[in-house]
Amino acid sequence: MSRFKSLPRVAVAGALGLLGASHASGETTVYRVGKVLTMDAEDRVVNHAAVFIEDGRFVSIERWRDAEIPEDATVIDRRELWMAPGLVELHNHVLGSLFDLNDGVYLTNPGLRALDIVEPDSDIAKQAPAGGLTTALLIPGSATNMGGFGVVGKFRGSTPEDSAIRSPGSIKIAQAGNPEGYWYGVRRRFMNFNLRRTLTKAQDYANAYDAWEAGDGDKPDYDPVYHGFVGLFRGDYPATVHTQIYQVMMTTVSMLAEEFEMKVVLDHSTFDGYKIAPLVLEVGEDRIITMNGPRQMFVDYSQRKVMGNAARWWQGGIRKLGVNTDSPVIPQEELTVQAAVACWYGWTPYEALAGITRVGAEALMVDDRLGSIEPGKDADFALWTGDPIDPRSACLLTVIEGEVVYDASKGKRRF
Amino acid sequence: MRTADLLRVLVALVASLAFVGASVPLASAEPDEPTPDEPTPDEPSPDEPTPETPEEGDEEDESESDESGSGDTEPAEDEASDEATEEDGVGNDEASEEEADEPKDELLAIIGGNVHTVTGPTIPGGTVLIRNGRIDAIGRRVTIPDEAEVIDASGHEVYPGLIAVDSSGLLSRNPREGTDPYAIQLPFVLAAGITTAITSDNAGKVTSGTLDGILLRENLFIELEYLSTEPAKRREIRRGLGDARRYLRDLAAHEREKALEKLGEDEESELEPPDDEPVKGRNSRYKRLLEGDAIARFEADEAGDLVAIADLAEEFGLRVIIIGAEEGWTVADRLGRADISVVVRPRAFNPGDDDRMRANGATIENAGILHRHGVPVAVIPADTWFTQGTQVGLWGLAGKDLKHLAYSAAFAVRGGLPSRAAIESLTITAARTLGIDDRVGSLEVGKDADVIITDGDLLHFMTHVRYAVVNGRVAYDKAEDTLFNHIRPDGDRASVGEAPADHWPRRLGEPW
Amino acid sequence: MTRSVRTLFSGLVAACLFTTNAGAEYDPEIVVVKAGTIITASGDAIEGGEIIIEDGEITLVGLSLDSPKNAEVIDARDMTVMPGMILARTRLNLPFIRRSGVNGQFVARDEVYPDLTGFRPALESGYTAVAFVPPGTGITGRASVYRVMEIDGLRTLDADNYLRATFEDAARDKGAMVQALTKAQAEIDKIEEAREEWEKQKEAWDKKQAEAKKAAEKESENGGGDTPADEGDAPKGDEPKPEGARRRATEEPSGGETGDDSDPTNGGEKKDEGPGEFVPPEIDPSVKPLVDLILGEAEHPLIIEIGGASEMLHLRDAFEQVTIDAEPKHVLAMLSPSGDYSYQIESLASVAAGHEGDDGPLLMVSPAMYTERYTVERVNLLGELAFAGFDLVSVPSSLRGSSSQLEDVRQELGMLVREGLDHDEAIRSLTLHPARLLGIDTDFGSIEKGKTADLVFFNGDPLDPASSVQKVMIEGRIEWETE
Repeated sequence: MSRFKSLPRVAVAGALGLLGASHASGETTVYRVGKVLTMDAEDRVVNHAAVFIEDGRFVSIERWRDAEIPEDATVIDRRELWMAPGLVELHNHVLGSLFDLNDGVYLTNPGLRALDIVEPDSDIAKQAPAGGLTTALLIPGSATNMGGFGVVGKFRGSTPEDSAIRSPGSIKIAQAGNPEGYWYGVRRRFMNFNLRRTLTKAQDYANAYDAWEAGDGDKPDYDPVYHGFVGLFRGDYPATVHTQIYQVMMTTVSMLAEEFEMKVVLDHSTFDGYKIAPLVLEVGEDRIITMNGPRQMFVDYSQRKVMGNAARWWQGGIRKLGVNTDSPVIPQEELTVQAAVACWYGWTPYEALAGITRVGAEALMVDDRLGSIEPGKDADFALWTGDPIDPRSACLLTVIEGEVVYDASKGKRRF
Repeated sequence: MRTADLLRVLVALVASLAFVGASVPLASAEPDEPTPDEPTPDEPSPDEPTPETPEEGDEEDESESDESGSGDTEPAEDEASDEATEEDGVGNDEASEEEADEPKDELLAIIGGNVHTVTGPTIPGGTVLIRNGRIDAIGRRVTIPDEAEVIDASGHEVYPGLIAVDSSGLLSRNPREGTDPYAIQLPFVLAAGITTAITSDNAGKVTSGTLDGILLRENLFIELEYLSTEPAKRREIRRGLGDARRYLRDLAAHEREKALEKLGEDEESELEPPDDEPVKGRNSRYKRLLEGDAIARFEADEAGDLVAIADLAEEFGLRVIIIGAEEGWTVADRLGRADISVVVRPRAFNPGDDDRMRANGATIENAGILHRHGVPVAVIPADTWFTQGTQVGLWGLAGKDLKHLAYSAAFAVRGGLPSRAAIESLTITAARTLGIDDRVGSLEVGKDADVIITDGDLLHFMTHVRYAVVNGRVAYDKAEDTLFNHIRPDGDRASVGEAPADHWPRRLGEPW
Repeated sequence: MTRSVRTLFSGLVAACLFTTNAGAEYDPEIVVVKAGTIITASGDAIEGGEIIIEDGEITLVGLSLDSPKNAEVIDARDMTVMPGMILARTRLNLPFIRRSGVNGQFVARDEVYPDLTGFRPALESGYTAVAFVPPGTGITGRASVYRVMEIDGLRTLDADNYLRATFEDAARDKGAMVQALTKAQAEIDKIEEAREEWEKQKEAWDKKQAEAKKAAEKESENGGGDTPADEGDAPKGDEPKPEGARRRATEEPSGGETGDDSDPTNGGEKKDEGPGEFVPPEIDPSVKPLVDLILGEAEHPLIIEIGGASEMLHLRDAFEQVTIDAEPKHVLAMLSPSGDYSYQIESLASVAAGHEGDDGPLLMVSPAMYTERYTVERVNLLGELAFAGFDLVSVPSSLRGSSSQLEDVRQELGMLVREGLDHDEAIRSLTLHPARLLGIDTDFGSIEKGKTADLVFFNGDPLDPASSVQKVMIEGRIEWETE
């Protein structure tokens, strides 16, 4: 448990306080459902379950027939539905204003914050809970090598404060395969040089800051450009790296994970990136988590084969594996469909569901709060008509911290 | 020594040609090449291969089609197979009489699978016998001629080939004029179960590796634009149809009068036929529409436009299909009354405008609501900012285009369309909508032998096509085609399996 | 012979105006070539052999021959000598022209003009004969074959050679092919109709003549009266009346009502005229060569530049789509380096297997290693096809054929030989097979007795990339050599 994680709670305590006021403390809500996919470490599945929720947290998950329902509890009987944890999306651009996706002022823009553009009330963002999503990492686009800091937000409310649960959520780095468009002449050698220079400066600042905190040296002048990196280099949040094709991904591993010792989420990791699986394992999956998408297949023209990216990562030994949508490239409510497609191309559904719940939460370092249905965690979940991965199953009810954010029976069904 | 080298090269070449596999349509190569009918006895386990997550026991979610199928099978089934065998008998006689010294019949029997005829009952363990590209017999008690090739589909599902009601980049505008039958897109869509694709206003077959029978039918429909934003076009269409209808009436009256006159006297008639300007040249399309010779095809989404098209269809008695119809769900009863067919993009995203005084925008429930109002619904993948739904994108984005057409039907199910209707939307409804149901869209005796054999429920997200048969020939064989043969070769959905060999970091000279 | 001397000669030769067989009045000019290796193309190679040439014609080839004393000796004992190479398809030094559709009326000859420098790349690369083709796509017209000469630039060998058609892209070219075949067949039907019409008339006329004769005989028997005797006079009666015949054939509706009446076109004189010889109606020049091919009357084949396996299917479909009397005799040209021809290797092999005659079926190719489509698998497709029995004709894939591209042909062939193509087959694909394709193999394409002495001298194996052309001999005279 990192020290930082307690910080954002303090930061958004005001917002939470307002929300919390709407439901009396100690009030219990019980969801009666046909099946609970807890997605916890033991992979427990509870059939005919009663899920107890208090204060926006899960309290317990029991079999219905064993459960003792308190008199004053609100019982919501959806025994025909399945309950799965709220899905976590690591590559999202639509929780915020799409117009402000890329602030391409410099080739690296370390000081920018995605928090400033969060718009949870937009038409597109409101689609997400209809697909069972509750949490997303909103990150800047990949038009520059460093787009700025992302923000972890929930799909609720209408202000950034309603939504955000941690800022910075990650630093967005685009290794290659888009920043080239920044200016004529920007190619991989220069991009790597430029990125390394920025990171070195950031590291110097972070080191000086850490040293001062440890009682060694003067307090460095506050630098808004680099201050966010203090937490980054302490490992409080990861770098989400736009990286694909194996040549580029090798640099990601060697430079960002090994040289700068950051925690790295491999966003995209598509095309033939799966070939570097051994390198990822060498560094260790505690440092590198692979989030594949939005592409889920790769036509290997050298041997006329179609490779399922996720399946190939898995076959290469990668176990901290998820998928993403890069919404709006794939609409974010289709995160489960991305998982389904990954399965068509060779992956397995349970692992795919884990990839968009607990692995996602772990990659964001919010796994103490999110990613599974366990006592004490945020009551973020969705009710499905069946297996969430199956595109035929619909999400009918989405709940964030005990509050219903999407109810398919009210108004037009969104997905 | 050179000969040895050549032989080595020849072997390499033949090995590389295995890519094309059964798709090389050479008569000379066929007799001694028993490729496609290797028996597959130890394919997936006999029990339904649908369970995918460790949770079992919910009876709500899937297998609706199976159930609704088995509900009315028992009595109907035997009837059907009797019928089938009867017709089979007739077929055999005809063939033996006619083709005494003709080339031998091409026979293919698909046995042991769950045969989803779509228009009739589902026949567990049924046989589909194919003769010269047509379905010759379907049923449980079909006698299989000794010379027939046999595909054992035990443990597999057998469906009619799917129909893509719109496509691009697959077949040429007129399929026979420039289609590249070796293009990699073809095995891709065959692997998605598509055997018929509409391109421009023509229907073509996905005949990988051959041009034989690639053109199904030409000039199926006439595209019309009838939107409130284009009032001039609307006026022109109304005027054209009106003039053509008046002309046809006048002509009929003229014919009548002429006939009467003839009865009376012998003199040359002085009656002038009406001026045929309203049906000449470009206007001839209005005549075709009025006579039901062509379908009127509209693209429209707004409720107002949909109603206007319904009015037009009723006024002039047109056969109409509407592509899109995002707001169809708000006027479904109107469309149902006007007997209009609709091609829906179930995943269309349009949040609508909350300020308007009526329901608007797109919803996932569109297909289901239209279906409940009796509107025939076919489906097509939706376009997005980055993908075109009617294409076969090879850059990695998947689930959004023809590579996964069945996903779009699955979305319709998500929105409330019954599974059976969803399968029909990809097959018989699509065929009827386009007026090609005499050839394709279901498994019926006499229809084109376009059959797909899948390793599970067609609408399940992990289902792969094992074989695609087009015009009676195996056009795609998953095990033979390198594209997908490494994905779940044993059909085990619970395992990711071994990795296929990689090109990298292979060094020159290393074996594959 | 030095350059300056030859320049002196040039005036003389030009004065002779291409009279190559002027030798009758002089002593035969005898040249002996002593070669390190002679690649004969028609038979085995000869190590340390000699070639005796009289008046530009090879008279003897073999080991240590008795050479005449007065002969000029060319010592090439450190060289390899092969027949002059023949470039069966090029537009070397001709302008780029965009043209499409059915244009059988064009002949490359009309574009070609003698230009010393422009055609020298061919000579320098060892080509002694080239076939120029008309530009564009579709049915482009007919090729013209020339000798390459240092002094004159070019000399015509055969101005009306094969008909060139492109079928590189079915979507683009199939329409033109179908249109051309349909048109050609319509022309053939027209000829047939005209012939039938003519036969009918002839019959009627013959009958009338016979009757008239009979009547005349009767009359003469009866005594007196004019005799139309001179009408039977053969030369006069058979005088062709092309205009009349043509007009009948072209203008008459198919019913041909006028047929049985005597010819109306000649007015009052009709009495004296018969239908004459059959004169076929004029044929649309744009499909004339194709008509000849379908009727089997053409000397040279149709060469179809085919883009890939898909196009091979579409070509077959085009031939089936149009009901033609006979498939035009054609040779495929596989020139696209990225073409997926191997998808059709089995049908190609069956063509080779079913071919009758001593020689294999001809196939024009652009030598290169092919890569299996959608893979990185390299295949020696041309080696396979030669092995299957095809007689390859090697040309560069590009029509413009710069000197480096011309050199590449040899080097690519060398690569194919390394990968298993027969060496002699590769040589023949540059010499004997193109000669056969162009119908000039009686005089060119190999080092044999009786053939024209067109030779190329290399400083090594011609297919070795390290080798280069040292001398080129045309009709027994060194036409070009390295400085």
